[in-house]
Amino acid sequence: MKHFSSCLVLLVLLLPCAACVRVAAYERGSLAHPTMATSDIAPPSEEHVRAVQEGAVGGGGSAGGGCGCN
Amino acid sequence: MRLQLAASGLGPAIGVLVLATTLAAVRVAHAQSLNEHLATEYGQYADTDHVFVETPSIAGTVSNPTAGWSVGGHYLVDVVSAASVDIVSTASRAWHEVRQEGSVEASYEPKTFGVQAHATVSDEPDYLSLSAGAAVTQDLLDKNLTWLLGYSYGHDVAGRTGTPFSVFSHVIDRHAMSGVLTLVMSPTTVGSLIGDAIFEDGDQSKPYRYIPLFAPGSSVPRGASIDLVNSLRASARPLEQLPLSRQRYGLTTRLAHRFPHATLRLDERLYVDSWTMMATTTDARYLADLGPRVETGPHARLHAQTAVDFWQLAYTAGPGFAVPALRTGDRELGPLVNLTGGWTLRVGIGSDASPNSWVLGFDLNVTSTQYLDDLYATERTSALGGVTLETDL
Repeated sequence: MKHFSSCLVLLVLLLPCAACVRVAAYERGSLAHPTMATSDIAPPSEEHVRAVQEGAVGGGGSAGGGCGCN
Repeated sequence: MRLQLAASGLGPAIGVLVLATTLAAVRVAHAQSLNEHLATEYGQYADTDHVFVETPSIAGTVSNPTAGWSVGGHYLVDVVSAASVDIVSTASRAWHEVRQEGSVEASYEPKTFGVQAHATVSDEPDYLSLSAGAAVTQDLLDKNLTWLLGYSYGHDVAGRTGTPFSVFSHVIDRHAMSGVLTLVMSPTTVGSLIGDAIFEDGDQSKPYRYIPLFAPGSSVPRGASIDLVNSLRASARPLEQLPLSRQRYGLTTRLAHRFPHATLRLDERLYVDSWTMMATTTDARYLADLGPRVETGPHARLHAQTAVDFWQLAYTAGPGFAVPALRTGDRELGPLVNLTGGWTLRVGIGSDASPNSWVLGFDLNVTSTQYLDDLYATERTSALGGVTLETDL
């Protein structure tokens, strides 16, 4: 829970950044680059392997099964 | 789950549904001059525990950025062959499985307020997973701040290969809630904070997983061989039994920064659940532009987790050979550390006027896993390679 508290503090610190920095639409060329997507850019097979190899699954709507375990 | 190379009737239906949806969307796109994106990947996985997986997949999206809508779908097949130590230790033969997964998704955001929806089906001979969800999102502060709230429901049915679900099955229901806050921090930096809460109800115990039991006071070393375990264990081996509910909580911070000719992405996820597992996952990618056609760079990932509270290296029988109420042999529920190193290469193979209208990609990731308190294995090395082909029509 200590880590969660730290992240919440980080969120509180980030919010003022959004309020202070207004990036206009014409300034967003770099943000439109495909590698800047806000979603995970890992290919499907990598996402699935992570879900199997890491006991800590975090959200995402990926359907289960197919873990290669017994 | 144990599987066989026998497709059920639902699998082909998934593929047909996704293909029909994609073709219909492409026809609409041609008629309206919309954006179309198609991607296909062929992934291969192998590890030192004798597990091999081949994963071909295809995905497509049609969107109209002006009107603010998009529809898409994906379909993949996992073909798994395994002769891992867990299987050998139960005197089972090597086995194979085929899993098919399809999904459709849509979003509509005409102005600053939008909605999203998705549905996914995963099917294999002894496991069926259905999920659907929706989300609402809103752009604030001239699109410098975006929030999203989502909910999805999942319904899984787990059985045994060769036995109808009506005779034997476990049902697992899953409610997942997520909240995302995305901040444009500068013309070159964007950050996100992603929170997940997942509530699972049902028996997730594997019907093939037998747990060795030992007499009190037995000394069983970490990484003990199958022969040693068999010489020390009691003759009876109960099936795995997990708690009937689990609540998971995750919090991820994601930062992406665009340099003049490169992108740096950093993710940090913190996780805790009601089985008292705690985990941290750090992921970093650097992709550099080597000219207008080539993009390449390294990937690193570190995942470390504690064990669930009922985890034991060697379960011992109680008085009267009482079996521990909760028991597992799933080493992904034990303490472990995963360290991944990888490399990505993407090459634009389109025309000179539009070199990245077709992109050929190669990914290779090698993961070293250290099992800190397990029978049979203390480490595993795995490799995952993928070839992707993407196009914007």
